[in-house]
Amino acid sequence: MTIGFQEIVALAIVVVIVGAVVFRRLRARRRIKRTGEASVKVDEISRRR
Amino acid sequence: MPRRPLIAVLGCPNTGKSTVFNRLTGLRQRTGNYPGVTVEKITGVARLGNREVDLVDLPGTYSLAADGPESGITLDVVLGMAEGLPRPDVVLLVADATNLRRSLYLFSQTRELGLPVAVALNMQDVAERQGERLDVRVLAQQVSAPVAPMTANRGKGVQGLRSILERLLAEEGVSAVPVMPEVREAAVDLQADLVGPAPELACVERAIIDTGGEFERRLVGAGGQKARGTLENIRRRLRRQMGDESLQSREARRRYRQVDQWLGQSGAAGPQSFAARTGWLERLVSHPVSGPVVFLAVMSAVFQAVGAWAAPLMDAISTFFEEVGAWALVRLPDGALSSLLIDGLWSGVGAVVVFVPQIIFLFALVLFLEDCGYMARASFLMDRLLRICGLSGQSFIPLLSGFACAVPAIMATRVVGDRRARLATIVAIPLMTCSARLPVYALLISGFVPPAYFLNGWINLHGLILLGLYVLGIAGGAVSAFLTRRIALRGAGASFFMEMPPFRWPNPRVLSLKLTAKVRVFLTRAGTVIAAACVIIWALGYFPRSDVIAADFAERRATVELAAEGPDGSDYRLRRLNAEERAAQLEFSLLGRVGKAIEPVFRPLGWDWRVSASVVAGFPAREVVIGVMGTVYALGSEAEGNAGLRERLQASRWPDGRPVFTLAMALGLLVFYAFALQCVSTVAVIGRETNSWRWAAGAWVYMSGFAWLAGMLTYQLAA
Repeated sequence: MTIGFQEIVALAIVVVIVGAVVFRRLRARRRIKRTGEASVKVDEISRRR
Repeated sequence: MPRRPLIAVLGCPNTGKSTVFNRLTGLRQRTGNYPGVTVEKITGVARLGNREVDLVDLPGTYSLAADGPESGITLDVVLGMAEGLPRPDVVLLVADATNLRRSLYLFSQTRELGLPVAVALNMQDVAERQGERLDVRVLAQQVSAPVAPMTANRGKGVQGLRSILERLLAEEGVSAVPVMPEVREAAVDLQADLVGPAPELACVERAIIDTGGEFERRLVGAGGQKARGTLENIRRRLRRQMGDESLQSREARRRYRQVDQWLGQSGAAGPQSFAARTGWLERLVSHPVSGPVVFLAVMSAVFQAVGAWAAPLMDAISTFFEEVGAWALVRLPDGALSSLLIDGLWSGVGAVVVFVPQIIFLFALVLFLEDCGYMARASFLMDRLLRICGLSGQSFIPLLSGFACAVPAIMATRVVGDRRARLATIVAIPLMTCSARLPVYALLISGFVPPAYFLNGWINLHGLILLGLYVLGIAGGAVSAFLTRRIALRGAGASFFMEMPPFRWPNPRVLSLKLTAKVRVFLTRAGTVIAAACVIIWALGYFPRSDVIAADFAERRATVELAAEGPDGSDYRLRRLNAEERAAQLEFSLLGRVGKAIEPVFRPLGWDWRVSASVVAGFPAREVVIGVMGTVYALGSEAEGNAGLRERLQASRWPDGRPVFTLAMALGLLVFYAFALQCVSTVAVIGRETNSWRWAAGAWVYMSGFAWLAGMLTYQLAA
């Protein structure tokens, strides 16, 4: 296949979007490991023990 | 830099502890976990006068006695033994003014710990309406602690509480005379005897009183068999002194005597019966006959309302996304970039955003029912039914939350005290019809089930099938829980104890805050994970492109243009050729090749390679699947023009011309979705909450296998 300018830009956008999301997830994971915090905001009901 | 003072917020369940906490901290709070245990650590920052203080909201508890590591957290935090938290400077005990006796029992234990304690006397408005004539000033004198009357959900009395806390921060705590002086004396001796770092006196006291409790386990763990022997000797001696009554029962008796004395002096009315406190509404909703009828009526009304109110908004959003897509399509130059923007991002995200109205209405109604106190009655009613499956009423709220999202629901199983029942609830939750399944259900039902009405139009077939899928999920969950309890986790069920909160009007501000948080979580997911999934699928479906196919279609287009008799005729044939080229290029792409490779696995369910590829791509999160289908079918649609996803699915064909999406195939796909565990977050949360990846992997394998089997049987029988 022929790869033109548009294809390269489109692929770059895909890489940036996916990279940003993966980076966010990894950062959240590191924070969880460091502080023992959960990644999910817990529903109010789960606090009612 | 000196650390900020810390206030620990303590209280019985349903006293409005979290509302008081929210009033003091506003939105400045964080949710986390205490290391090593599955208890949420909720901390926040509050401003008192000109200084800032940290607040920690502790799990609701009736007593400082602890039967497991989870309930031991309360005493750990108050004594400054919890990791990452210093010893609190002040303890704020939130008490329910309508059920003060129970809260003052906890207060009676807390005041012996040597920390300054303030009492927030919450729900004062309800108590006054019930005719409670308590003299708050006298009560404060009796308990030797400041008491702030308040109605937290309306914001009344918050300023008074702030001033009290500010004043208390400057004071030193005084330990009250213990109710069990014999135990205190024995604890001091035992503490001196122990080798190694001495545990806190209060923990040693609890270890002596609570046989088989958490602090006994810790003491024996640190001191070995010698500590166990000493503990047994002390207990035997104390029992003899107390006329052979158990220490726990003696403690309860003494503390309640003290509490009744305080209440009597303060002019409080005697304990009222539950029915007298709540009246006709309580009798109606908790009655063995009228209760289930009201429950069914309320639940049907919720689902009908969600469907009816959300539909016009969903149509509007869907039209908006289609129109903007069509508008952009004619204005952007043809090529990879415009395809990425329109077919990848816009179609994918649009297909998910469209379900926001449904989520808003569902959560608003469920939160309303929860905050007004109805859900607690529903748990009570469901207890008997759930017992058949080896669960208890405690599992009801987590299961019900599963209809919104399995992730918070699985975390909510922390309310289930019995470990076996908790695991069985965790296994059943992913089968409840979560909001992410709704888009798939809505799309397939409206596209492939013929409209039909019964009983003069009161009942329609679409609604019946949707209800059937909910029932299927519930039945699947019940069977899963039953089998788990019978095969993997045999044993007697634990007793279920809960206190009915009084009926009250929810606070609109609190409701809207909770609702906003839920919608924000859904949208951030739609905006991040789903967008990423959509662009990945777009790239897989767009690349590589075949130059041969492109050249072939360019030639055919040129022929059509040359032979064109009129603009309309050539336009139609050109659009048709473009659609055919998109389909051929998609088949040539990576996604097409993967889809073709896995097609044989899903062939018995009547799926072609595009459906197989979409479903497999949707395994990380089922809400992604509609976005993925949107992308796959936008890239390779055989339908013309700017048709919606439904029309594109209807137009898809097998190579021999038969439609792919038939009623039988759609029903099979619906059943597959009812059972499949297509959500990586749920798998992860099962792993974390059960502390075992075996449970997570097991749940995924059995649910996927069962979904395939049920989908295949449905398709084969219906076809």
